[in-house]
Amino acid sequence: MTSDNVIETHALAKRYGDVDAVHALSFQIRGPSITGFLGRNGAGKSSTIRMLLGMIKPTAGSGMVLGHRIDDPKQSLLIRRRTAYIGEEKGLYAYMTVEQLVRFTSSFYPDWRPDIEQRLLRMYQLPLRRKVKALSKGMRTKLALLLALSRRPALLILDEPTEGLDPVSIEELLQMLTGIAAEGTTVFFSSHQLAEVERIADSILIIERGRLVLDVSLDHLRENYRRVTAGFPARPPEAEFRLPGVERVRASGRQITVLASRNADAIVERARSLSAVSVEVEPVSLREIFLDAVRTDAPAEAR
Amino acid sequence: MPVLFQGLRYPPVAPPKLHRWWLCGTNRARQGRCVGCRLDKPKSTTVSYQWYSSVIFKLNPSSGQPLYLQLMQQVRHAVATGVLQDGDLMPGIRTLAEELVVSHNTVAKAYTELEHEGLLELRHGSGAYISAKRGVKSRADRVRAAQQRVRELVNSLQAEGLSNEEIFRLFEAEVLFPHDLPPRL
Repeated sequence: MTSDNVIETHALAKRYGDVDAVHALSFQIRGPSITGFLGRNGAGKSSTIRMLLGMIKPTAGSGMVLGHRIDDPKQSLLIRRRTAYIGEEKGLYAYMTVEQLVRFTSSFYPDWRPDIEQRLLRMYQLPLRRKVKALSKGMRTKLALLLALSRRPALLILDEPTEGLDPVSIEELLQMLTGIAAEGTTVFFSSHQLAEVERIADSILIIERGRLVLDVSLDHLRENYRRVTAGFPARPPEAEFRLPGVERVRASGRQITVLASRNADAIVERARSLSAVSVEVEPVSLREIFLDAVRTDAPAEAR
Repeated sequence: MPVLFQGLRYPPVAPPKLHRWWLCGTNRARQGRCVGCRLDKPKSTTVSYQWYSSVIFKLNPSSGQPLYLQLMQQVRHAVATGVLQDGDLMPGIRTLAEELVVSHNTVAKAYTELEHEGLLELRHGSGAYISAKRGVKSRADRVRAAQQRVRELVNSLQAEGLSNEEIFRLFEAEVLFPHDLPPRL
């Protein structure tokens, strides 16, 4: 490997007809870490993941996963050998029993680890003789995880893994993800559950309409993003708050709210110098940052 | 997210009797896990128990402070209050990350920083031990003693008629710009 980036893309793009699904996407992910991949429905998350796995060909740009090129069929095979993917539909054969499916899947991978398989089977308490179609959603997710983890992948990609799970199963899944990341697997997952992402991820990527809008570590985000609310005796001059690091200014009556990605102190200073009667600085949750990042000024075009 | 290391107590108490799964009588025991007491089947009859210090850490993901800093502060606080004491074994990075359901990088960063501070000793392959022999406590004592001396000095200066502002400036100048001052008499 030339670098220790697990995933690396340069101006990756995918067009379907005249729709730009993914546009000039460039990012790097270092391992082992946990990365949350966020975006609205149809923002291009699944397309990006499919390109990384070589399931679809990028229209333009290039990408490397685990040091292999994603658009080369031979190297894509090497990627898939060391990468596990759990999609929205888990892709499990419904007519097999759990035991059959585990044996069937294991025969494809020479580096299958029976010890991990046994440990996970015990931990998840999966009914060996039940058919996959009779499993609950949570059990199916656990089975898919088992099939993925028994190969000890270097990279685990999940597409909305917590969708449709009950709170207990979600908690177990998150615990599992933190556990395998600690063992050296890089986890890359897309999700709409921002509170979960905020808990376990090291960094996040937010894409909107195929474009990367935010690529930041959560520690940086917690340290620097602030919302400053200031009250004034008279109508405040909104333009005075256009400082570097200010993402959004909203004025309502005599109050002004500023969302800042850095420089919160300078904004407080400015508010004080404009004789604000009250200044409040609060941390910002990932939910607000996400909503701000994907906020569309124009109504989203029909797709 | 309050997390208590389950079944682990501080101060350490004697480990419980081994669960004799083969006498348990439940069918599930054959699968290696007993439903009656939820203990895994021991691999051998000699099981070594390691006791972590049980501390409740609470990390708030939306508090505007990096999680590793929150964790560091809580360890420091636990040491200051004596909940964690010198030689206590902290859970491993992986264990704690899984218990708190945060990324291992968060715990690793907190542990490394705490090690730099000298509050934690990472012994390879053995674990992370609290190291609060002298540094922290004696420092607090030294500060307390210094505070007493400063109080006496300030009282006597006030008695001589200096204003608080003047005393404050003198201190400030002495600490911040010691080289710009006229040589001592």
